[in-house]
Order: sequence, then C-alpha cells, then structure tokens
Amino acid sequence: MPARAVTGGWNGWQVRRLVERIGDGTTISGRTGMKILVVDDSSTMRRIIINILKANGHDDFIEAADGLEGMKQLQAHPDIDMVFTDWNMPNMNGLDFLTKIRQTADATSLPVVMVTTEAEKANVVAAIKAGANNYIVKPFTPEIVKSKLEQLLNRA
Amino acid sequence: MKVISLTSSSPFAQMISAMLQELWGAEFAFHHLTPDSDPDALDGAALVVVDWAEGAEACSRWISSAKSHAPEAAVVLFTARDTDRRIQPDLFARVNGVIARPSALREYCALFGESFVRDGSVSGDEHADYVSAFVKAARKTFAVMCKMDLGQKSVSALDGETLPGEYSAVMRFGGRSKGWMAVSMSGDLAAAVARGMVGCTVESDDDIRDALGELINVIAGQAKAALVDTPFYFSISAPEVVTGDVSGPECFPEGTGMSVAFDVDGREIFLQAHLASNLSPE
Repeated sequence: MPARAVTGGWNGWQVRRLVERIGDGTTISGRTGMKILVVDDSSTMRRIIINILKANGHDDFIEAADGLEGMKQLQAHPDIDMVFTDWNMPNMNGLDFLTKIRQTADATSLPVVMVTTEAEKANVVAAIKAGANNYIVKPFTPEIVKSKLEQLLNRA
Repeated sequence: MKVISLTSSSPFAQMISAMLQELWGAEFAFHHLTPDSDPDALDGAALVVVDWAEGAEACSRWISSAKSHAPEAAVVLFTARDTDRRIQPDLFARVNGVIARPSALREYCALFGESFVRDGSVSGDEHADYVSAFVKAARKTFAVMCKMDLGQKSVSALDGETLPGEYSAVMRFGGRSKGWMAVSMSGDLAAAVARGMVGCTVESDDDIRDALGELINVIAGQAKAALVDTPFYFSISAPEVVTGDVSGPECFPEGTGMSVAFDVDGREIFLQAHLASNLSPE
C-alpha cells in the first residue's frame, strides 16, 4: 500500500486511488487495503460489522467503543479510510462524533457511515445534515452493508 | 338489543363485538362510537361498554352521556386488570358492572392479535396497540440478526411478575410515554442467540450480555420508529442485562403491560412491555 499523506483523512489522493481501483475492474467487494474504523459501544455489533466487511475483502480494522475513543483513534491513525459509527453511545454519541470529524480539517471528507437503531426519518436527515455519507439502520443484512459500501465508493 | 362500545380503538370495538357475538349469538345491533360521535347515538342502548383505557376523564364523560341518553342501559367499564378499580373507585361505582379479567388481553390477542401483528399496523392512540410494534420489531430483529424465526405462542396481561428467563435484557423508556421492555430467555438460548448474532462461538458471559443488550437496543429502536406518530413514542436508555430470578421493572397502574411468549425450536423467548402515554410530557 502506498504511503499516505501525513494529514490523513479522505483526501483527493485517496479518492483518485479508489476511482482507479474501480476503473481497474476489480470487484468492489473483493478490494482490500482500506483501513476502517468501527465505532460502537457493543462489541457484538463491532464484530458483526467487521465480519461483514471481512467477507467483502477488507481486513484492516480499528475498533472504538464510543465517539471519544473514535476521535483518539482517528488522531492516532491518520490513514483511516472509512468510519462506521453507531449513534447511541456513552461519552460521545455518534452524531457528536460525526460533527467533530467534520470540524477536523484533515477529516472533512472522510467517508462516515452511521449504523444505528435510530430509524426515524428525522434522525436520518439529522445525520446527513451533520455530514454522514451513508446510513444503515439496524438490524441489517450483509447485503445491505455491501450495497451501502458500494454506493459510497462509487460516489467517491 | 342495541349494544354500544365507546372507544377510539377500532380493534377494541371489534373485540367487544366478537365477544358478545360468541356469548349471545347475532341478536344484537352493535355500534362503535368514538369521542367524536354524536351522543344522541346512545339513545335506546341496552348495553354500553366503556373502554377504561381511554382515561378517567373520558370515561366519566361517556358514563354521564350514557346515563343521560340511555337511562335504562347497563353501563360497564372494560378493563384488563381488576386493580384498575382501586385507582378510580368513584368512577367504577357509577357503572353497573366491570369486565375485569387478566385474561381479557389474552382473548383480545387470540381474537385479533395475529392479523393485528401480521400487518404491523400501529395507528392513532389505540391503547395497548404498541404491542404490535414490539412484536414486529422482535420478529424482524431475531430473523435478521440471529437467523431465528419467532413463533408466537401466547399473549397475556403483565402484572409485575418475575422476569421469566435466566437471561433478561431490560430497557427503560422515557419521553412522550413511560415504560420499559424486557426480552427473557434461558441460558442455552441466550448463548445460541449470541452465536447467531456474531456468527461464531461466544466465549464468555460478557459476550452473551453484550449481545442481548444490543439485541434489545435494536428491537427498541425499531419499535420507537414505528410509534413515532403515536402517543407511545419514547426515548430509549442504555440496556441492562440481568440474570437469575429477578423482578421486572415495576408495573404502573396506567396503561397495560403485555407479555408475549415466542417459540424458537421448542424453546421460549419472552417479550414483555409496558408503556403508558402522556404521563411525563416532554
């Protein structure tokens, strides 16, 4: 994997790299190499998400139990390519975490997927307004995660 | 004979009609009146069934209307719990009778529960209808997350009993309504549920507890979304998982608690919920 810009985040270089990968004809679900931060206070849910992402060819994960820990991990690992975060968490919830991410210069365009039980339209709108790139409502199937991931990467 | 049910809940009116049909045959004319109905429609009634769940104020008003428009009528209050009598003794003293049996809700669901739950409809402020939102959420969550199909075995009124399973996940609600829900099951089934969720063996009790906590979180989240336009809408709290013989959260006099037993390959999962709306306005 090429060296990352030290500023981290989802920069133009990363976007180009992803687009190049897609352009290569590599299947999205089979691509590897992305470092993904999974933030959820439930270890079970983190395992579920990671298992699904592993089945889609990803194998580099960092875990955090809340938004506060998630911010620390983002600072410690500037090469994180994508974030999956829960909404309801202690210490710092997912919406505040997302807001913090978008306020951080290096991570303004880092892809963030909200994975949450907050299924009401108002909450989806709030998350999108706060800068979420996609939204997954629990319970979800592996196919839903794959589909959202593909949407996100195609958008990039 | 003219029979009237006074309720804003269509399923409740259907239940009363069906129960009377079963008891008396077809020799009565049944009318369903709602709070918006013209009180003159009470004229000539022989039996007026007032839905206690509509609240004391509405019940009092309707009892007065019934006594005024149909002085010969037998006016009865319908409640699922005999303990309701202690809350408003004056109100109960004004009626000719009370239909108060713990089995009332079981009958209700036996008569209408399946279709009611199947289509998942939750509308308006129909009392106790929140149960369909929880049942639908539980079935979907177990199917998607654990690959388990929940077969509904029974529904009964809840009256402060001990949580029925070795493992119980409990969540309390606040906001527009107050209440709680619990999902209980045996230790073996709890381990199987956790295994089903993560797709591999769970190694510790903490893993099981975490899985059950997440499970109830997901069920509550879906039920909450389904109830967003009803008085039962709530905000959720952090889940708590308890083990052994412990009492469930306290049942309160308002509203009706329900316990639903599901069958999973010959084993039982219990979903208990008790919600009351408009008690702590936001």
